[in-house]
Amino acid sequence: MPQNDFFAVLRALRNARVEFIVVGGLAAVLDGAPITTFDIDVVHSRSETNIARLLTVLEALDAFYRIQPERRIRPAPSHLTSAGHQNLITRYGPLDLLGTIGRNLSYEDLLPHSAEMDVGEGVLVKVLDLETLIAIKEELGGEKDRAVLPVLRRTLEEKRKAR
Amino acid sequence: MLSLTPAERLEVLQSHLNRIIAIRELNAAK
Repeated sequence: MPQNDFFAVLRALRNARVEFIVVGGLAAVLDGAPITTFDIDVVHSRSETNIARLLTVLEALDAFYRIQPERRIRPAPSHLTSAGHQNLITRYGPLDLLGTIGRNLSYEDLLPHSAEMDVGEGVLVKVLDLETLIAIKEELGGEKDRAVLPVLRRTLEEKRKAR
Repeated sequence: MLSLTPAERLEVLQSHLNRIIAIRELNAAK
């Protein structure tokens, strides 16, 4: 079982100048929600340059598909340029690379709804805002997403009060 | 969690997760 290290993955992506936005449970935590998550979900830019950078980092992180870990299938450029979800395992734990989320929202669509945050040691990453995260989960979320919605809504209320 | 910085929130999550993983490993070894 690989060691789990969120920071190591985020730092590797950032150091390689990969364009990505943290979404999902980890975005909720970075936005202040008291929830737990086991993996990193990011929406990446599907530009040619970014895919090339991403592939280099994935190789360094020894990333492969976690559905059949014994086969150690690595993502190809065509996988990363698609709108689909690539559920990978890296030397630092699970990493989900999402071409789009919600109703086909891409990196470029989500960019105006993200904010840059320092996740430690000056590593700045873009994180989806809580309002958009809630809207996406409300619209298309499954059972697991809906279960966490009350916590996310309450966190948003508290953040608004504090402003 | 709201009173913490994003970096501190990440540390809290990481530490919580490490504890869960440690418990899982202990249980698996039983």
